[in-house]
Order: sequence, then C-alpha cells, then structure tokens
Amino acid sequence: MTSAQPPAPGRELSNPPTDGISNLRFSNHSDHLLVSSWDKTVRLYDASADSLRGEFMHGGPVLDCCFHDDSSGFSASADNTVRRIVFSHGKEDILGRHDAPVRCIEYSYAAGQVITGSWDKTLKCWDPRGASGQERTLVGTYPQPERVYSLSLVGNRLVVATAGRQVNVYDLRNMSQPEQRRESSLKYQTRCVRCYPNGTGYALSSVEGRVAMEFFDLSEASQAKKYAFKCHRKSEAGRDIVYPVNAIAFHPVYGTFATGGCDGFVNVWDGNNKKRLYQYSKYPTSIAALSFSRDGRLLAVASSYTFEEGEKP
Amino acid sequence: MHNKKEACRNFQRGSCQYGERCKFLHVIQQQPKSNAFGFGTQAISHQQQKPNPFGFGVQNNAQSKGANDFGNKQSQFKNTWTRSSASSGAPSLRQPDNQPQATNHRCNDPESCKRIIAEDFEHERPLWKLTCYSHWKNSPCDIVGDVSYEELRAAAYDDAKRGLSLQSIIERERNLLNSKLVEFENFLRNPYRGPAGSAAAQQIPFPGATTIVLSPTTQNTVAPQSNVPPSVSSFSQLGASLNTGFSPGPSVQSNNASGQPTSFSNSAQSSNVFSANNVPSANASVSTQNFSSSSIQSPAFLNVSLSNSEAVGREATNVQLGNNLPTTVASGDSNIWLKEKWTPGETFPLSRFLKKLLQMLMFSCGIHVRRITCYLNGLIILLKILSF
Repeated sequence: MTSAQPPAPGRELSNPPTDGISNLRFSNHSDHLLVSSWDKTVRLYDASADSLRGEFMHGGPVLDCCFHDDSSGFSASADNTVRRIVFSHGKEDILGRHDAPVRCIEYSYAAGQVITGSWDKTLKCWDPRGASGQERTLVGTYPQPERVYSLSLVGNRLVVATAGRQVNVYDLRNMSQPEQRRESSLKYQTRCVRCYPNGTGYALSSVEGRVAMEFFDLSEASQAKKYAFKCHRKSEAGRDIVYPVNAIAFHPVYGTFATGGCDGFVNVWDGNNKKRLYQYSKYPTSIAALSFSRDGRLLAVASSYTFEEGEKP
Repeated sequence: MHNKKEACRNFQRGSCQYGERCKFLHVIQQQPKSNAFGFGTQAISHQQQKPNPFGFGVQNNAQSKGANDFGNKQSQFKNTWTRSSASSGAPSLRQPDNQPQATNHRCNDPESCKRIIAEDFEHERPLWKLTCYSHWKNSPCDIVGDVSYEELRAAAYDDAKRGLSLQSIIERERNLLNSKLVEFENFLRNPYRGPAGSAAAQQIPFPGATTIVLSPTTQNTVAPQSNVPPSVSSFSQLGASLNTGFSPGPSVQSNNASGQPTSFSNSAQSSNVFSANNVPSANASVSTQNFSSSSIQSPAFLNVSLSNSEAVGREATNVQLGNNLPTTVASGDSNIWLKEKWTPGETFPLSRFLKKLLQMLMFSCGIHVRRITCYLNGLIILLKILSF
C-alpha cells in the first residue's frame, strides 16, 4: 500500500479486552493476533475472521506477549512470571520467573530461545523446549544497567532499551556482554525500540515525540546516515504539545514503519526518504501498540483507555 | 523590536516556527555542524507540523557542558563524536569496552548549554513528566530517575489491590510528579550542580514489586551562580549524609564556588545512573502550567508526603525554597493529576463528579484545564476498579 490515498478506515475487532492493552502481535504464520492486556488476559484473535479464538487468564496484568508458532505463544506478566501458552489446549504453564514484573518478551527463531526483559534490571533467556521449572529452562541471566523498557530482535541481534536512556545491543550468539552499549540519542525517556526488518539498525522512540533512526554499523559512513525526527506533536501558540511515541512497527515488506503516539494518531513514514506517507484518522485515545501482519496487509492498532482495537488493510 | 542581528538557532536546526515573523535572522550559517542529515536547513524553515518533510529533530548543535570552568565561550560546534571503536572497516563486532556513541560532550560553553536546556524546557516539554533528561544527545542523563507509565500503573494497581484508597494513590503519584518537576526546575536554574547532596533514596511508597528507586529530590546545593540562599549549605550536608547509601562517585560536597563543574563532569561520565544525580530542579515554565505558582517552588506538600528519612532533607529544601503553594493547590493538583489522564472529551461515567470537582478546583487555582491531555491510563482504570 503506498502513499497519497487516504487510508481506508479500520475495522474494529469484537470482544476487546476489558482493560488497557499492553501489546499486540501478529503471528508470523497466519493472521492470528495475540493481545495482552491489563485485565490479566491474553487473547488470541483471528484477525481476518474477526473472532476470538482463545482467552487465557494470568495472575496479574500481562505486559507483553509473543508468538512461538501458530500453536503456542509466550507471555510476560506483572506477577513476575513468564508463561508459555498452548493455544489449542488452552493450557499455560510457567516458564520462569523474574524478581519484578516482566516487561517485554521476544522469541528468537534464530536462537530458539525466549528472551525476556524485566524491571529487575535483568534480561533472561529461556529455552522453551525444557520442561517447566526455572532451573531447566533458564539459559542465562544478563544484568542491565537499568530497568528494561523495550526489546527488539532481528536476526541475531537483540536491542534492549532501558530506563536512563541506555541502549544495549547484543549478539544472540554471545550474550556474555553487549556488543554495543549506547546512550540514546534522544533526550528523554525511551519508550520503544524496534529493529529494521533488514537488520541494519533500529528505531528508538521517546516520550518527547521524537523517533531516532540508528544503525548498528559503527563506521562513519553508516553513522552519518542516522537521524531523528519529531512527530506526534501538536503546535499551540508557539509551544508544542509533545506526545510520547508509544509504538513503532515496521512493515515487513516495504520497510516503511508506523508510529503511534499518545495523541491518538498513527503515522506511517518512509525512513529512507525521510517523509511521512500518511496519517490515519485519530483514534479515540492513545495508541498503545502497533503490529503489522506477516505480509504487511494488515496493521493492528491498539488504542488503550477505551479499550478498542482496530485494524486496517 | 528586535534588531535581527542574531542568527536564529531554530532555523539552523530546521525547526523555526516563526518563519517570517521570527525575531532572529534566518541565515544558513556554515558552521562546522555535523549535519549528518545533510538536509538543506533552509528548506525546512518553518512548520515542523508539515507532514513532509518532517522537521528534523536535530537534537542540538550546541556545545558541550563544561567539564571545567572554561569560560571561553566559543560558539563553534565541536563535533565531539568520538568513536572508540577506531577500526575503520570493522563493523559493529565485538568491541568490549565499547562506547560508540560517547560523544564526550564537554560543556565548553555553559551558557549555551544552559540555553539549550531552557529552550528544551520551554518548547518541548513532554507530556509525560516522570522522565529522565539529558541536554545533549548520547550523553548520560542529567536528570535521572524516570518511571514509565506501566510502572506507575502497575504500582497503582497493586496499591489498589492492597486496599489503598484512590485518594492516597493519587496523592502519591502527584507527589512523585511534583518532585520530579521541581527537580527539572532546579536543573534549569542550575545545570551545573554536581551530585552533591544527592538523591535521597526516595521512598515513594511503591509496592514492593517494583524496584524503582527514584531520586527526584530537590537538591539545591552547590551553586555559586544560583540565587539560592545560604541555607543551602546546611542542606548539602544533610544531603551528604543521606547520600551515603549511594554509589555517589564524586558526590562532592561542592558547596563552594569552584567545584561544581568538575563534579558534574565526573557524573557525566559515570555510567551509573545514580551518580549522575544532578539534582536539577528546573522548570519554571512548565510548572506554571501545572501549579500556577512562582518560579521557585517547593511545594509545601512535598514535606507532607514523603514520610521517611528524607523528610529531613525535604525540610531543608523547604527552608531554602520557601513554601509558596497553599495546600489547596495540592489537592487541586491531584485532580489535575487525575485529569491529566483523561482524553479531551472523554468521560467515564463514574468520574463525572470528579471532573466537576476538578474543574472547580482548577478555576479556583486559575489553572487552565484545556492544555492537559490524556495520560497515565492507570489512574482511570483505577477509578473503575475502585468503583466496583
């Protein structure tokens, strides 16, 4: 889908969660959508059919979720647990625990591991093939300088954004120490980090309506390409109202990306040409999460507060 | 009318909103800027509100913060981009002690850094106040101790589960917010304070689950160039005693005229978030929006809220800063806090009365409600929860 045409309005999914949505993800294998929410549930939807296929209760608000494959997924919860959910049987079991709420979770296909980041300032890697029980599934624990706010994976690289504006880049094959340790190039708290689908860098967003595009390659040539731009701001009498950018999602095919902010707008940008492609109409409240489907046809937008969820082709 | 002799900084950054009306000169100065963006800054003179091209958030081309009292005010941009990974060809492979983005920003020109800070605070204050801040990209935080919305929400939910009343939760959050704002304000006024008398371990009654240690105290110690009254010294000593718990690094007592830049620079380099505890409490501009109070704030309720060892520190702070805010503002603020989370136009049925209360209080405090926009989902949900 390219620019210039006003995007068609989205379709709202039925049976949304009853409380705020913390994150949502499309599966890599189908159009299933996994939604985690503050109402302690993780819900599985079939996006194209607009049906709720499963709902899984947890002990506390669920802060993040991800797919393993079409039959199972993982969730990270504020009751400090990391759980694996098997959709077909409706079962879930605890993969492990942190000492503090687990904020983000990712599954790495390359390494076959589940990686979780938590507010206890650690990153843990789990092997989901092991039986439940922390001793057998935990592959490693990696301390971080601060609480982990966001994670993203591409290929063999993992980018971790923590409080205090620090960013660590790890190579999954050698997690003993970060490959790179950076400070964010934005001035305020980091909100979300996402890697480019082509694996050359990552996008970082902050609470002050800015997104920074960075590159892994530390050579001068690559670093010269990095930039940051302002978005999700409203101008009022000389001052801006600056909204946090809550979510970034990359289109798997085109490499363009969408950002969602607390102003309720979703903007789609072309990173290479540094232009905004279009903007969707305003959502009722702030955008909590964004996700593209595997073929890029659908964009799921979670608008929290009033707990709606919309999708668009 | 302004003489237009100075070049417009915003314009050079590509983000001047005034365009023709701007008081400063719109010239394209070929400063040795690191225009990594390479975009004609002239093209982007106005409106960063335009969809294309977006205003490049060129973070700041200004100088570095002074490590030492340089006093030479060169306004040349120094591209202090150092690549410790010197290897030209080798891409980002295993480089153990790697600080690729260590710009080693040295504040050679404190004035312009101060200007940056003032500008940032004036034009670009984010909606989410509980954030960390650095005046220079890629450098460690100047103001530390940020809290994300999820943490706040989780804390609020936990508190609610434990039976804390909504009011006390709100109160706690409000205090958090206020102390953070005060910190910003102090920072604005005195950006070169070292971590002296630094952060008291804030014991915000957060639930045990979160291991957040916030340090938004207002430490106005050191400060030759500030206008803080001499009672500061007593505070810094207090602060020092409170500081022992931390890895303060060079938490110098620099109560004296010379010290602060050095301590500051040390803090700037230490990676430990807490040793970079500059307690800034900057922000006259924004606080007026929220508190409608004078520039030197020390909200009286700060004293009330944090009932722990650092209450001592707090009192000292209050001593020096003076209590301007009447307690009514305090409660008004809590409602502001509440209100802050509401999207414009959105109302929850059960909170309608609260909204009315809010509006009343707002008017009484002369605060504009209009500007405050949605935020902090936790509290609204909380309202819902607690109403059941």
